[in-house]
Amino acid sequence: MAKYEKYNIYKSRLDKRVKNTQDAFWANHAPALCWLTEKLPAKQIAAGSLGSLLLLSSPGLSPVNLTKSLTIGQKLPSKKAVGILLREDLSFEVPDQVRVLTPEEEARITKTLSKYYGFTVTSEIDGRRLNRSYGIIGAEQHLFRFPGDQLYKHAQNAFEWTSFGKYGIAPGLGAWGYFSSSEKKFSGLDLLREKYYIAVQTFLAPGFIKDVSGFRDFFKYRKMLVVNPKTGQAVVTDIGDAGPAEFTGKHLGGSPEVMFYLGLTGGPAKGPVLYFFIDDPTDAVPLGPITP
Amino acid sequence: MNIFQRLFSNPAKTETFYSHLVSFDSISGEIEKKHLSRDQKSHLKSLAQSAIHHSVLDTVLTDLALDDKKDFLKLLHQNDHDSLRKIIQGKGLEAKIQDAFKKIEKEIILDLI
Repeated sequence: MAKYEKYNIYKSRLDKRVKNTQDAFWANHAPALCWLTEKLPAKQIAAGSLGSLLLLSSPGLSPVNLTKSLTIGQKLPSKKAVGILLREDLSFEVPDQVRVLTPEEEARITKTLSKYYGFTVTSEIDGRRLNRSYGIIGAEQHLFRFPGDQLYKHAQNAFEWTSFGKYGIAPGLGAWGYFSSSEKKFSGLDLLREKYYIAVQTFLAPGFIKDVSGFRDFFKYRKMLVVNPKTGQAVVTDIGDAGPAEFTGKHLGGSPEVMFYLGLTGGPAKGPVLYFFIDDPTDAVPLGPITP
Repeated sequence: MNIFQRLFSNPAKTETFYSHLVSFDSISGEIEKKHLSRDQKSHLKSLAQSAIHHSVLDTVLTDLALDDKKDFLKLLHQNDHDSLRKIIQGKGLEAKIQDAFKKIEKEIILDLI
């Protein structure tokens, strides 16, 4: 075999080796790497001494590979690119059909989400879980937060009024009643809890009937990560209500703000989402929209 | 040097936080045996070193929480290898680095058969 043929064989194998280690490195640590690129002065990457070692982009390469490749003149990956990476990873792990996930699927997906967001995402805490973790979310109305609450008080500015006021306020109280006993005691946390609440089918949780009060305490304001797998948009929410009824064909409901930040306000205002508990004993994860 | 040149620069040319834990001699010796030009050998060595570097960084960062990862990457960007060595020692990661290196060393040597 000619020398150059042998060289090409060795080079091809080592190129693949480098790519595999690079891919694993980026996949495992994208959030930290993107933080680095955003916190330190942004610079165009010059291939320099790495030029010959790096995977060159080619026409038709997916955004995932582009963000993992370092080529001459290529910008460093942004948060948007990490969102694309997450969406790409989820596209391999989340089934096309909206159905109950298998334990293996839940394990893979929660591992991916925990890795991207940097906190523990799980389908079960203390032996308690919901009936499913992948389903259709529909739009809910605002909830009364304290005695005498009115819809206009939910909007803190013109944007919120025009974007979220039109959904109205539910006639009854949520599953946990008022968020605060009075307007005077109404806190910033109460505001966020109603703003980013979801309604889940607590009554369908395995074991619910045998321990209603235990499950009630477990679910009340429990934090959940809700992710739109098609877009990568996600919100840290809390369980603020129970529902929807099974006959609706929907599996959970989101407040107007939750639906907005999931990108599900257009058209039928519903869509498939992943929803898992956030194991956050120190209450460190803030409620609201989140990017990886 | 920009961020990623510092993170991924050729470890054979610069002292790194894991230089004292691994030896490139076996891989280098395997490449030297080949009947190739000096430039070709040099390029294959660079590829091998890049794979090792990514693999070691992946091993280290996997054992760190997100905030610790950020601190580690900042120090790496600053080329503060003394501080990085202290972190590795403090977290007891030296054995893991050596294991990761042995694994990728075997894979690279197989690539060169």
